[in-house]
Order: sequence, then structure tokens, then C-alpha cells
Amino acid sequence: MAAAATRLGSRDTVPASSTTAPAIEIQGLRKTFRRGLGARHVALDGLDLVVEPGRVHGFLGPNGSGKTTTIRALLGLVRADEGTMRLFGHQVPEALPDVIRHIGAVVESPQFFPHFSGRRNLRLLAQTAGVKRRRVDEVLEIVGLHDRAKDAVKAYSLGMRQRLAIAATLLKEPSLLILDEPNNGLDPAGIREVRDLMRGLADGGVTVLLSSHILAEVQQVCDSVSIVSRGRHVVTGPVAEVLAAGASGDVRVRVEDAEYAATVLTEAGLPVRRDGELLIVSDVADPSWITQVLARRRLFVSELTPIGADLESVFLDLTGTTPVPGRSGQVGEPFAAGLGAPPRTDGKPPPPPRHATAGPAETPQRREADNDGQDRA
Amino acid sequence: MRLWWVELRRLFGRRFTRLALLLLIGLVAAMVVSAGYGSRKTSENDLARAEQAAAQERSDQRARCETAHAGGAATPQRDRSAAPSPTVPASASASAAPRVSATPRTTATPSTSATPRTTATPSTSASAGARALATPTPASTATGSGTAPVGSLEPPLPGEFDGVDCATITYPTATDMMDHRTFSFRDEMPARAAFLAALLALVGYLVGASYVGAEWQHGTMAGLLLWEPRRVKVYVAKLFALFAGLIAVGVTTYAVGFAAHWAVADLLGDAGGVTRGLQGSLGLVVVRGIALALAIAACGFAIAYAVRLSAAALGAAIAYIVGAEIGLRVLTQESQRWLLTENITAWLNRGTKIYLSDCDSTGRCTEKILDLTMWQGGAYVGGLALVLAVVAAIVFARRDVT
Ligand SMILES: Nc1ncnc2c1ncn2[C@@H]1O[C@H](COP(=O)(O)OP(=O)(O)OP(=O)(O)O)[C@@H](O)[C@H]1O
Ligand SMILES: [Mg+2]
Repeated sequence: MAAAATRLGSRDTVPASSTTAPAIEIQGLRKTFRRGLGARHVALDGLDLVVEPGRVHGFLGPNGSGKTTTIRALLGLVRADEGTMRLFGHQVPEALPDVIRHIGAVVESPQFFPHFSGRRNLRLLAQTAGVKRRRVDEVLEIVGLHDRAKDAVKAYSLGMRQRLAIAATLLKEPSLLILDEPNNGLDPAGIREVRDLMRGLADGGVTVLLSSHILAEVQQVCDSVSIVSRGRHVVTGPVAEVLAAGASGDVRVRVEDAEYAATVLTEAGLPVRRDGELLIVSDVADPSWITQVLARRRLFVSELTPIGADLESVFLDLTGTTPVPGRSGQVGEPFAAGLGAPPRTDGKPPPPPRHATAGPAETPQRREADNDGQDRA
Repeated sequence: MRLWWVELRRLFGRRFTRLALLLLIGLVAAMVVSAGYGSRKTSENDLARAEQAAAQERSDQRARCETAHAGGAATPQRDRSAAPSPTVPASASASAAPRVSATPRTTATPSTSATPRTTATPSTSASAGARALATPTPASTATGSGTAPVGSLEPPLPGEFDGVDCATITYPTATDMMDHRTFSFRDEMPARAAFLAALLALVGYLVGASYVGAEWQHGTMAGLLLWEPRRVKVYVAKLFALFAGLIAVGVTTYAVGFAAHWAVADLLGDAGGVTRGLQGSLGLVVVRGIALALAIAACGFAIAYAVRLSAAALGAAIAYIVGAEIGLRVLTQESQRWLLTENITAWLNRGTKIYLSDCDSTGRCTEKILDLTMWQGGAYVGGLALVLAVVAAIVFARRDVT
């Protein structure tokens, strides 16, 4: 897959109405599903999303937070109640017939005709859009299904179906690729291949919107992410900034005489915890200061690592879905971590826990080290 | 344009479509076999024997007629000591078939009874032969004397020959007395062509429903809409694909059906009399039959499309048959006018008559005939298909695809 990805630059022209237009621009999107007699369910509650072109953008959120619904609305499968959506500056769903040929999408476990072969399924799709027949074999090659292309899709494994779905999105040589849980069922090799494929495409100028629950994957491949919760936008920004927003400011220190070092650092006014051989120092604005303090007492640091938050903990924190021991969090229930909100029954969500555009300026633990230079020796 | 072609290919790639086509081929083959079964050409011998038998029968009838006119109803009765009573009309119907049908025929004037028969040559020659044979038969001489031989004949029923001129009895003819079946393309093909239309409609309904129903059930509709988001276009393309496929299948089926039936008639029956007029009317049956199949197929397609389930079309068909064709028909006679079967019959058979008996509280009934014309039937079936198709298109254009 990866080798072939480089052949996949975006199609001749990005169909942007203006060159600076975001690939995806969603404002105030609302969607209420009616279930049965009168029962309503708010799936999207004024959701905003902006995806700049030429990037891999992660689209994250707990189960039922409205990611798939957003994607469906964007692609004209679901009619939104309110809000505006633009793809490359074109208002959708009105302009969808014009822009759709530049968009490839995998929407939540896509389906194929089970009795037709993989190749035949792709050919039927290709013909509807006038894509050349040769392209079908090319994309089958890219996703590694070439040898099984003659088999009926019903004989495919889950991962093979997923590969076929990805192949289908590539048929059009898209400028925007929307992948809703593309890793569903893929083996490690497949996951890496998809990752390389996405990177390759993005390097060629293609915008990728990736919705996934595999946060390590998102952290690796995405340039920027958006997190949504309960149908609302929570945070958007480059991955590094979102991570920094959730960073604790803790630093891990390894030093010969941990006991003494802990005393020294405590005297210097820093909260210190022992972690086996190591020390965890909290609220450190500038880690080099630790080296300074210790060096003056002739304690030499052999390891000094700022403990960055990973996307998972940021995600759990921001969406309020951190599991609490002894209690099973329910889908759609806010603040499972026990922030006090009762399970909702009125169909209207409370404001999300944090609503911010992440950036270095907002890193909460940043604090001036006012006791710089003090030495008790 | 491109889309309907793709859909057409998918339609014929489906297993269900292929199965349905096999079923259609099987049914057409069964029709052809039924045409040829027991049929054989009429030889000179057959004709001579039939003519003789017909002449015998006619002279018997004349003898009975004359007995009746002579007021001899009582005379034969003593000869038929075994039979209980001649007043029971059932005794007439229990006898040979030609005789039964002879009863209404003989009451008619010669010109009327000749009308449906004029095209058939044997009858003319048979009646000529009958006239020649008429005088010297023992039966006619026996009638004069009123003695024993009359006893071999069934006695005339009271009023059976009232107002009949015994000399004008020209029925039955040789064709009625044939002892074998001869498949006649000319006589039987129009009805068979109409039956073929019903088969095509059935296949169209099932294929149309399954073709879109499966698409919903497999969840491939969403995938298709990612390639062509204009839903009305998608809908129309699918409907057109179904129509195109059905027209192709219909024309082929009719061509093969006609050819096979003609071959059977040529080999085992009577392939004669295929005039320009017959060809023209068969051509019109084909046109009407295919139009019917399209309308019915559109109904199945629309129901399955709107409900997103193939089985919905099947359920609707069963519900309709039980609720309307059986239920309504039993409840109110007048409603027959709105039943599909009657309207389809009218469309295929260039009009139909619905017999309604209008009974008052005293139990006296008067029969009323309701004429349903071809165009009324066609407009009704076509209108129904159009309404269903439009409703399904609107539902599809508005509902979320998830
Ligand atoms: N067709 C539908 N009818 C009714 N409710 C629906 C429908 N589709 C989605 N929903 C509801 O809308 C909400 C958002 O669903 P959606 O599929 O967008 O979530 P998601 O973010 O994709 O979740 P996941 O991570 O599990 O895929 C859910 O509460 C879901 O129950
Ligand atoms: Mg989803």
C-alpha cells in the first residue's frame, strides 16, 4: 500500500471556490432523530468543525457523540435540521453533485453486494462515475486485495471488506478522503498500511478526515484533531497543542540518591513523589531548573523526562468519559469520572466540560518559577 | 444515462433475476407443452368420420324435433322404462357434449348460428353432406310411422324444440365431433398471449421488488449515494433499468413463445389462418402485455423501495389479494370495478363485462352488466403504478439513509 500511495496525488484540481477555503467547514450543525412515536434524540447539537486542506485531521469523540452522523450529513445521506456545511467552500448538500467526485468516503462499515466479487463491486461503482476500468485493478493492488478480487464479497473477512471499502474511496482519486473507523477489523499490517497511505495522500495534498477510536493511531498519523462530545465540538487544534493542553507538567527524574534529591527538591518548593527508583516532580515550568537545583548539591541527573499527556488521557479528560473503578459508564452519559452531572433525561446536553481552542498560552500548569536561584546550601 | 446502464448490468447479474428468468422459461415451456399435448393434425379419415357422426347427430336431432312437433312427447316415454322421469333437465346435460350445446344452438335462427361458424370450412361441407343424407335415413322414415326406432333416441324435453323449424337444424358440425384435439394457433394464441402477459407481470413484480429491496437490505444504497447524490436521478435510473430489462425479456419471451407455439401448431396442429388481422391483434396483445408487466413491476419496485424491504412487496401483494380480491369481492359487488384482476382483464382482453345481480329485499334479482373498457382498465392499472412510483420517489428523496 505504502509504495503505491505516492502515486496517489490529488486529482488535477482541488475544487475549491477560493484557494484558501477549508476542506470542511461546519457551523452549528443540528440533527434530531425521531424514534418511534414522538420520541426524539438530539444527535448533533450545534456542532462546529473546520478542517484545513492538505492535512490528516482526526475526528474524535465517544460512542454516540455524533461523528458518523456529522459525516453522513456532510455527504448528503442525512438531512441536517440546522447549520451550514461547506466542502472546499461549496455549500453542501446543495453543491454535493459537483464536489462529490472529489470526495472518497468510508462511512461506518460500508457494504457491498455480497454475491458479487470485489472487483465487480468496484467496477459497478467505477462505471457510475465514469472511472476507467484500469483504475479498479490499481486500487485493488494498493489495498492488497488483488489476488482475492475474484472472490465473492460474502467470502471476505472483516478486514478484507474494510480494505475493499478503502479501495472504493480511492477509485475517484479524491481531494478529500473521509474515513470513519477505517481500521475496523484491520490487522496490524493493514493498520500500518492505511496509516502510510493516509500520510502519502496528505503529502500529495489530499485532505483526510479520520474518525477513529484508536488514539495511538490518531496521535501518530494526524496533524490536527477535533474532539466532539454529545453532538458538540469540544476542542480543535494541532495534535501537539491539544496534547500540551492536557499535559500535567510532571517531570520524571532519575538520580543516584533519590532520597536526598527528594529532600532537596522539596526544600526548593517543588511537589515531589517517589516512584520506585524515580522521582516525579510536579508543576515544573522549566525542567532545566531541576538540574540546576540538584547540581548545586552535587547530585547529577541521569534521566529527565517531561511526562507528556497522551491523547487518550486528554480525550478522556475532555469528554468526561474517564472510567471510574466500580462503576460502568453509560454511552451518552456525561462526566463518567464523577464530575457531578446526573445522567440526562431531557434530551438537552449540558455545556461540554471544556470548550477551547488549544494553544500553548492556555497550558494550565505553566507557572513562573519565582524561586529561581535560591540555594540553601 | 451511465447510471441506468450500470443498474441494468447489476439487475441481470443478480441471482434472483436469473432464477426468475429460469422460472419464466420453465413456464413458457410448460405452455408450449400444453399446446402440443394430445394434439394432432386432422386427417381425411378423421374428417370423414367426424362429418358422418355430425350428420347422424343432426338427423337424430331432427327426428327428435319432429317427434316433439308431432306431439309425441308421451310416446317415447314408454320405451324408456328404465329412466325415471324425462322432466329432469339433468338427463340432457348428462348426455354427450355436442347435444348439450346443441340445445341453445337449435333455438337460434340459421343465420345467427352460422355467424361464429362461417370461418370454419368443415361445418359448411358437413351441413351440405347432412342435407344429402337427410332423406333416406331410417330415423326419418321411422319418425313418420312413429314406431320402434324412435325409442333409441332420447325423448324431447318439454319445450325443447318449441318454435324450431326442424329443417333448419345444422348443428353439430364435424369440428364438434372430432375425437382428438387439434391445437389451433389462430384460435388459441390470443388467450395464451394474454396469459403470457400475466406471467411477465408476475416476474416483473418479484424481480422489481427484490432488485431494490436487496440493495436496501445489503446497505449498499448509502455507498451508491456517495457516487451519485442526486436521489431522484438514482431512483429514475433504477426504474429505467428495470423497465429496459423487462422490455427486453418481454419481447424475447413473446418472440420465443409465438415461434414455439407456431411450430407446435405446424407440427401437431393447425397453423393455418394466421392472417394479417390476427398478426396485428397479437402484436397489440404483446404491446399491452408488456405495458402491463411494466406497470406491475413498477408497483413492486416502488413498494420495496419505499419500505426498504423486498418482503414488503410480497406482503403487500398477499394483503391485497386477501383483503381486496377476496374480501371486497365478497362484501360488495360494486367494488369489483376497482379490483386489479378485473381491470387487468379489461386491459388485456380489450374490455370486460362484470355481471352484478341486483337483489331487492323480496329476493328478486335483476342482472346488471357493467362494462369495463380497455382504456378504463389500462388507465386504472397505469395510474396506480404511477402513484406508487411517485410516492416512493418522494419518500426516497426525503428520508435519511443510515
Ligand atoms: N438512524 C438513527 N436513528 C436514530 N438515532 C440515531 C440514528 N443514527 C444515529 N443515531 C443516534 O445519534 C447519536 C450519534 O450517533 P453516531 O452514529 O453519529 O455516533 P458516533 O459518534 O459515530 O458513534 P461511534 O463512535 O459509536 O461510531 C447516537 O446517540 C445514535 O443513537
Ligand atoms: Mg460512528
